[in-house]
Amino acid sequence: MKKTFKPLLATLVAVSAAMGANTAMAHGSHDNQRIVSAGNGVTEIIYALGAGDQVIAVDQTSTWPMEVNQLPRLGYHKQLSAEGILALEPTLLIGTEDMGPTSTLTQLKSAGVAVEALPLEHTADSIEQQIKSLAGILGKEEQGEALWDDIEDSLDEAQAMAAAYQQQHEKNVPVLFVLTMGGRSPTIAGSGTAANAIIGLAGGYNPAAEQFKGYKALSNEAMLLLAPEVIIFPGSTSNPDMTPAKLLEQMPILKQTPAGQNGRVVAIDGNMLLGGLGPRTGDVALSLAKSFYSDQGNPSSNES
Amino acid sequence: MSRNHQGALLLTALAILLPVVVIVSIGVGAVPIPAGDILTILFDRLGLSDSTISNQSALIIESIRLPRTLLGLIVGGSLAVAGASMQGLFRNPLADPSIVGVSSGAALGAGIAIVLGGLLFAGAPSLVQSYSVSILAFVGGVLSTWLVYKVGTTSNGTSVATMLLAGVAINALAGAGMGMLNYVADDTMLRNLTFWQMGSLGGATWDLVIICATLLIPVVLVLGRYGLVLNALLLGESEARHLGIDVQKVKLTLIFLTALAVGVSVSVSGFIGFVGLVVPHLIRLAVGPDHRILLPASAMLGGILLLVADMMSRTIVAPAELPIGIVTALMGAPFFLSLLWQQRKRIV
Repeated sequence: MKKTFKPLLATLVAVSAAMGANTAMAHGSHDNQRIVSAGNGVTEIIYALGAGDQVIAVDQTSTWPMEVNQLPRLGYHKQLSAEGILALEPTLLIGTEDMGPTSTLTQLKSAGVAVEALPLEHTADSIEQQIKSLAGILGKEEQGEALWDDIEDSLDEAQAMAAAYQQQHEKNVPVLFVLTMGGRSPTIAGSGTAANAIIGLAGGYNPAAEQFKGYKALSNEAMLLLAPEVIIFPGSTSNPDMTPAKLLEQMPILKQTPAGQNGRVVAIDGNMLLGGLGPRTGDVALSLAKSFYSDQGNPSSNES
Repeated sequence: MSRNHQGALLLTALAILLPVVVIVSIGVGAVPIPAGDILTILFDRLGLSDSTISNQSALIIESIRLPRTLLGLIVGGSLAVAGASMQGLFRNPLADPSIVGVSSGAALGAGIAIVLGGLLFAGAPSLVQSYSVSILAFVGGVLSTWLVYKVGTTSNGTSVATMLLAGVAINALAGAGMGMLNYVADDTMLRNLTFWQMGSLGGATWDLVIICATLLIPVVLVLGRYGLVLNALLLGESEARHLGIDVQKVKLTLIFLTALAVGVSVSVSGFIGFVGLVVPHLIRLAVGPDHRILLPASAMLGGILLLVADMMSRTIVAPAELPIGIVTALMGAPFFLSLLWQQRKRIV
């Protein structure tokens, strides 16, 4: 890992040396920042804005795009180490209001590092706000507009599908997000979770959100009562071994739900949900909406 | 060589090692700072020279490494002395401060602050809010110790055996409380709880150092004066009484000084296990059980051990930090096991 990192570091040092004194001014110049990013959503946005080459280190939750896996890791974003970060000679630390501890942030500020803590909520507005603030900080306003327009288009499309379905059937599709925890009873996402937000953005309806906050393990009976028509779970790139068939095998109770009976079990990239919503949210929401609503012309036909 | 000579030798060696470790601890970190610069910065702050060192190096030394080193020294020393006192008082080599419930009570207090702090401290001033975890950890530690002490005390005095059992019960109760908190906590709170339990000196600021120094240094000094009394207690409680020692008063004082020392330490640095249990044993294995040597030697070795652990904690995985509780256990437990292995014949 060191080897791949060195040339990058060398270039960055060369660039910042060439830029001279401006480098130290966090807001003075946009193109020669040394950015430390603490938050998966934030990291994804920085890369989507085309400023990824300025990122020199990321926190533990940042795993996308793949390039960030070559960078030094800061550890957990609430346990940042002031000296560890200063050793990387950053000009800018970007994260969410979740990052800390406060003592580290204060020390970084007094060492001349600009610290930007963006608000973090699991809503589309929050993504828009994060993209626009980051675009402003990085001087990428145009790219920011374009990025948000794309996301907004996808989200609108997903909502339109949901609205059409609702008009026809006078209800939304009940969707549950299921975490598997070593074969124990299924753990379900309630309100206030990124998983709940993505279900909402995809135009689904999370029956668990009315009952509890956060993630809770549900008894089998409670699971049946919620009667999900679609089940989504962390799989695909984040956990390629976990297939829908395997999930049903591990948790037989899921087979008894409408989703299990109709084989409507969908894998999504779990890493995307870890550090809040981000630029991929639009695509994910749209593909989920398609899995909720396509082939749903006649609900009694139980599509394949 | 007699035990007394060995003891004096050990104390001298530790007294020489301690400042060396302190200086190394100030010198080691993710940012490389030449030794010359460090000395210049330190002398400069003492008003002895004019510094030409970059602002950043000065800042790292002054507001990051120095408070952290001092905090580690104070916390490590307090935990080890508290452990030595408990082992002496309970005449039990397995005793450590957790035996009177102080650690689990503190953990429960911190857990309550982390999970329910938003509700409990909603209207409180921001200073109270930012230290809510420390405050509740301290209150929890002292309360649970008081409870254990009350259960163990009758008009006939305090029964050490009853206190041990009450400590076990309080630990179980606090464990159940932690379980409940884990259950209701959201993801962020869970991570905070886990990290808090692994301990860290990363939050060290000058404010904390000053608070800890004013509370803990007197406690350590007072505990250090109990060497002769603890030696007498080794003979047995009634024997100590016949030697003219007010055993009941000694118990009360030692238990509450320990609760204070551990409560404060845990509240500023989280849960750093192992130091209180093992440091006194290491000293005992080296020079025997004389508390006049054991107490001051434990204080110094505790500080040294924690500083070494902290150096590893902040450099091994830089730019991130490994929680110090993991380092102390990883470093100390195998060492302790090997010592036990070599010396088990002598102990039995």
